[in-house]
Amino acid sequence: MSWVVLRLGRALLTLLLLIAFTFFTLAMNGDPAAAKFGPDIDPETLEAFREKWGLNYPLWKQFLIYLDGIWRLDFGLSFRTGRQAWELVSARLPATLALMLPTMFFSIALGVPLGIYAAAHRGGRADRLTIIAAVIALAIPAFLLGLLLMYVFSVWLGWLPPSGWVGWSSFLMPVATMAVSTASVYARFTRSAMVEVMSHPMIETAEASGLSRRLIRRVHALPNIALPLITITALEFGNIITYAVVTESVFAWPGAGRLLIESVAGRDYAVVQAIILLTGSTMILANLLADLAYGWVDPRIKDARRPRPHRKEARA
Amino acid sequence: MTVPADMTTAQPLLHVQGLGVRFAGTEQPACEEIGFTLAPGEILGIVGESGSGKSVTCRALMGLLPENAALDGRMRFEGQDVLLADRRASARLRGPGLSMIFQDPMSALDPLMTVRGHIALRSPADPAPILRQAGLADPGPLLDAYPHQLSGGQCQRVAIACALARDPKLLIADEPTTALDVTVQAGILAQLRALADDHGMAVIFVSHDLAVIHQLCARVLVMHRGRVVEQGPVHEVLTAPRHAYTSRLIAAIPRPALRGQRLGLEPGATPAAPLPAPRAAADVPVLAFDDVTVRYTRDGQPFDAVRQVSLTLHRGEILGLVGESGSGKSTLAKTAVGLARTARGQVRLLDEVLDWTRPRMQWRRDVQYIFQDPRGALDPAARLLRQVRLPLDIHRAGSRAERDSRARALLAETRLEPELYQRKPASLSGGQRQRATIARALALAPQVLICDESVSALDVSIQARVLNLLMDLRETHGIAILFISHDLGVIHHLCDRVAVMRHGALVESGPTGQVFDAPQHPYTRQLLDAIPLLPDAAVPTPAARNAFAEGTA
Repeated sequence: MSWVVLRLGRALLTLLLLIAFTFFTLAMNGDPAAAKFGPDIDPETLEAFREKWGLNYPLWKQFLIYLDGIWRLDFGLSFRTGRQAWELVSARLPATLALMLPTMFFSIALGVPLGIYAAAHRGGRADRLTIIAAVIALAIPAFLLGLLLMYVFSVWLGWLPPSGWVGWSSFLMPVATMAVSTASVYARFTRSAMVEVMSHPMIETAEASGLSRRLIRRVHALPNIALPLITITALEFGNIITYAVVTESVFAWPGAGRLLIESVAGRDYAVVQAIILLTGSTMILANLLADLAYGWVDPRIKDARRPRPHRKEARA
Repeated sequence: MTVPADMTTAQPLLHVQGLGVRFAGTEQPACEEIGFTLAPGEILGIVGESGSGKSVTCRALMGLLPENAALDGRMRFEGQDVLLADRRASARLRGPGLSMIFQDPMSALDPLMTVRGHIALRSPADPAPILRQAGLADPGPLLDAYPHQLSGGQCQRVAIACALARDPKLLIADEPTTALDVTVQAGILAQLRALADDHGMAVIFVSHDLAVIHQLCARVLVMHRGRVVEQGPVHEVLTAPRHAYTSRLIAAIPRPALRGQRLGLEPGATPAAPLPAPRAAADVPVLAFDDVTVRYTRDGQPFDAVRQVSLTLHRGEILGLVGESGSGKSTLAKTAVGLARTARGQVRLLDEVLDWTRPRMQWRRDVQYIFQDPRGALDPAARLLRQVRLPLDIHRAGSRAERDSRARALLAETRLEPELYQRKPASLSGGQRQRATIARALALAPQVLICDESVSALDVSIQARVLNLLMDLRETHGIAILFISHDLGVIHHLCDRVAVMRHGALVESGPTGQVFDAPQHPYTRQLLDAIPLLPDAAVPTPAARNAFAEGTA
């Protein structure tokens, strides 16, 4: 129990650091008032603007006000639109999640079995083909793959809508663009984890008592590769968010990723911060869940902080 | 090899003929022409050094060798003929026919699976009686434990239970007790014997330790370079070896009768001349532990790894420190080099109190520490000569050329051949690596050498060389050695005085002869009783040893 509390506390601390980091980095990035109006504005308007947005307070006070705002999901108003930043972001979120969740699902559903298959035929042709395919998939940048798909399926064949949102067929290309590289990461990781587990002495012990290779893979190998896969899933979450930003731009997808790029270009602090904090908290949450899942899968992790049970040798 | 007459008349359980293994891409077969017969309920020992092919032989029988191994030969198991090259056929025998346990019990089990889960995979029956049969007297609380919550001995017993769950006719045990303490080992050996006697289960017991084989087995195969060089009743093989290799193997084992003498084995090299008797410890204390307590914090609870130990090491003395794993012997030794800090008491080096919050360079020169695993102690990327020179470089001793020649001299002193000096550790044997770490430790002419299980991972013949070297160093340099080991045979052979530790406390110390002949503390007695012994008659006369040493390699 204290173990869970510890992990939770660590996650909260990371979140706080993230908020501070975002705030101060953006605050150092120049005066938004000057950026909005340019050099020709009269000082009074500038002053009024600063007053209105609280830019005249000392930095630490601005930060506290900001913290308080975040607590109430108030990230401030968007400079560009004058609407609540959170409102803007949350309106775009479903579209992004609609890309991310299927991507995660297909990456795992495709990558993990492929990796297991490659490991089972280690050194053979199937193994080598899988690895080569995975390396190629990983090497192609997402934007290039996206444009390629668009050219082939929309421009050339005319099967799929090239961009935007027109129905379920609009999902296919963006999800494929994102899932290809993530799935290849899963395939390679699963393969190496599987090879490693299968060379563990416990596999030989199981074989020596006559268990079938199939059974051994299921009861010994799969739970053991779950550990590295959990770690990878937490990390890949971050990558998928990155892919989403790129992919949404390529396919003109109405998601939070494209909003981020537009807002950065327009120096729209409030929106950028809202998105960064949202992605950051997602990452922190993913890592927290991974930590908790680790403790659930691996009994050694919870024990590491408990006094070791008294080791008593049973009498023969 | 001929099979003894009584073995052929009884219906054999297993008959192996012409077993050979060759790995793809190697010239030399890993083993060849191996044949033996095993009766039900018989315990057969296979003895040999690392690389002699004993594990490969066992895995060949089990069908556990990788695809790149070409197998030859056949076996007849319970009247059923199996070609060994047919891995599927031998795989079918696994479980109810043959089963196997391995050297490292901690990694033989799935870390994510409970004891109950392991047994349930293999047998639908109630796990408790199976575990009891494997020697776990009270299996109840262990059933839902995970491997990391068990001791090494318990893990090995669970591994045995895993094998027993399939009720095998033959259990192959590959060095099952090598990683365990002597008292734990004694329990496992007794268990295997009981299984053979009561259940008629045959056992093939593989070990590098002749004394263990002698205690457990009726018959033994001696393997050398992939061949069976000798087989027969254990007592006969030990007392009247017919093959020169067996004689050398026996001569390399440290034993009370050879105390203070060179272990004779290096063919053509130094004849087995007795060294001068250990000099009466010249009463110059070099390293003294005064009332040392080392405290660790374990989950917020203070825990004393070492409790109020006082011990003195004199110049030119070899002091043995014995105890089971976790007894605090390494922790105590580490206080002398600042790797562990004393909570109470002090460590003195030549009458100077070691205060590691303000360390002096001189202390790091005077005390050198040699660890168990030479592979881990050497830089895998650097050549041997550079590694031995490194301490001299760090302490800026002399010019570059002087350091170089000093390093060469040290390597020569540890009997490493000059052609090895420019090699990297990966291309050396375990013994060569350990000698290199000793050469490196000697580079700064230390007063004290601490050997922490430094020969435990080595084969007996290599171990004998390292032990001989340590004795020479003591004679020529008057160096004091703190020798930590769980192997009482080695301690008895090498040390002038012995200190026994248990649960962090010193239970007994005194001259070696006194401690071994008249132990005062019950724990010492228990330790001594657990040592597997060779028959006295197995000790060859010095003349015989000289003959072997001089040349019938």
